[in-house]
Amino acid sequence: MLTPDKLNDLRDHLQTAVEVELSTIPLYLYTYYSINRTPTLTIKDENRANEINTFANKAGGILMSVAVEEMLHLSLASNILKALGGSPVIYDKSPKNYPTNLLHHKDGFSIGLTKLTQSQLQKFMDVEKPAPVEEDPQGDQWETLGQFYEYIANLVKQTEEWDYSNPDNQLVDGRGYYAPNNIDTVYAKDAAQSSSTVQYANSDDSGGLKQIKNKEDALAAITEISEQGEGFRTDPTHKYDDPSHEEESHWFKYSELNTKFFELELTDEEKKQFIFNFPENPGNPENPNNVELPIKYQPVVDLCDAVYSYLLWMTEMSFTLKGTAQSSMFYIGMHKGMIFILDKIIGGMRRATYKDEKGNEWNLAPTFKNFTFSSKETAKKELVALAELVILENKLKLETEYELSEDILQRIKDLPDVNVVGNKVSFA
Amino acid sequence: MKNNIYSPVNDETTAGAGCGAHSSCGTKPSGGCGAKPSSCSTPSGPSVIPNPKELHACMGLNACKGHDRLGTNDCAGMGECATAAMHSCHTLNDCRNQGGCGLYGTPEEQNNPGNNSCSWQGSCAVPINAERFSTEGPNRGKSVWKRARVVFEEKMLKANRQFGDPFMEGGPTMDYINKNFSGYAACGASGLSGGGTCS
Repeated sequence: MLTPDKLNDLRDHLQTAVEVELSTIPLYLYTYYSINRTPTLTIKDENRANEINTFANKAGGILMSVAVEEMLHLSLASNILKALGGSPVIYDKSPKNYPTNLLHHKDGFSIGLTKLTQSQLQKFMDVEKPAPVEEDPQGDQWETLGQFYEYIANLVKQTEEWDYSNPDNQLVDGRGYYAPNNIDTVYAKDAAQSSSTVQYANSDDSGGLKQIKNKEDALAAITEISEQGEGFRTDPTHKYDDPSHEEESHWFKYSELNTKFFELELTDEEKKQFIFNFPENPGNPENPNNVELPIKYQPVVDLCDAVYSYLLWMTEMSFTLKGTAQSSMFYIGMHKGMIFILDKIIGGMRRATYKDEKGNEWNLAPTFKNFTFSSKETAKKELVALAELVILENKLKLETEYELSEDILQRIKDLPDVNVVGNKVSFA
Repeated sequence: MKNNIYSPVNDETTAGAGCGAHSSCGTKPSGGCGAKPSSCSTPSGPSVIPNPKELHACMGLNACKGHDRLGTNDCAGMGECATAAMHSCHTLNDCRNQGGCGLYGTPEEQNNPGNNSCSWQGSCAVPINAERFSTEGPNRGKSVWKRARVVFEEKMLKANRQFGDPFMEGGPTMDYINKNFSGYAACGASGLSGGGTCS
């Protein structure tokens, strides 16, 4: 049985888990968006071009397949927290700046936002590194996520059934909230044959959303999180995370990409043809290599941050709602927001270029910074105003290479309002 | 199980697959949907239909004669194109039965293309190009349009309705859509791309 203090400690660690999962999402998305998955290569050797095309497409599919499972892990940790009487705080909880250490990770670790590079893939392997069997659980100064979750699991084992007082407001299966695969997670085994050789990076039997009603559910959710990251603890290869052995663990996926990247021996010219030249850790003034952003692009970068932060707020609000109100907020809001707003904004941004003072050319990248809205009551209006500002900038023809379409503005207007009154979500 | 007789079906009173349902873009979604889109995309060129008799997601999914985008089809199941507002993807459909499916969504959603129950609950773009495949569910890796046609035929048979062969076996290709119905800007043939997969 947990004392009230220990139960609070468990809730605190679950909130930490939520924030750790959240901090990995921009890391993976940043690198994902740096990849042109269907590049038009000027390489004359057809076999070489196909090899690079296939790698580019696979790298994107793998990165997104991991990113969607990190979103799942955030939700599972939040569900356990809800069940135990807490509520996840997600809005404004993205890391303030990159590079950063992961919350409560052992000192000295640092990871940032970079385009696709071999060293970044190795960093991703470090994040997902399997915990040795003999490693002690650690709630603080942890070195592997498995170690951290093992600490949480040990606390969960000491809970009693009456601690699980809140089965409501969780994000549960059967409501269309989560699907392991979509067009962004799949890739072609052979780019030349494209859709006839489609590979599905994620498998149904590695687990999905779970409602947490008791200790057993909570432990199963923690096992799911750990195994999707590092594979089966007792399997020395840490290759798979599902019974059918169709889905590879995050660590193994990154390990394979890292090996392939090495084997390809890409020249700088080849890399340029499928990797957008994103700066490292944009928007961090403390970064000694910070690339100054031209002021004309600040509105769209702000809009991108605001959309990202609004998505986090919608997620947080979803854990306070029930039934159709929750579906309106999460199913409609998050799907529309992620796929048809954020993805489209970044997809357009990255094709815009600018030069730094040394004449180096960069592609416009997202910063995934927390955007602080004035209030929950005005957040949606502020978001719409930011989008309208970008459209106005387009109309004034300020020589930006980025243009926001009216369609995206309309989709932003169609998002649910995070300012929920009672259990009724407004779209106005 | 196709009925290859080209006898027009004119009984618009039969509920069946929506024959007789007279809706237009922006009409309050059926099925008690509360969320009403604030605007509709307006297809251009030959795809404009001011007053569709029935809203459906693609070629070959119409329930009656004269119910396709051009209003000239001879029989159920023989329409040339969708009457639902063209839209580019998941959660962007206006009304019931207007979701295309494939690429995004849960296994259940992806197994029911053109058969969603409410606005913004469709899984993918309309119209459903022939090259599109499902990424989840029992239809994973297979043609979305062919699945949509199976769902349509099942509904028609259940309603004891006749229907004809589709205008194109396998559904409309991207090339066909782009040449004949301007204004379509949805997912590409393979869709294997990120950061702007759909528009």
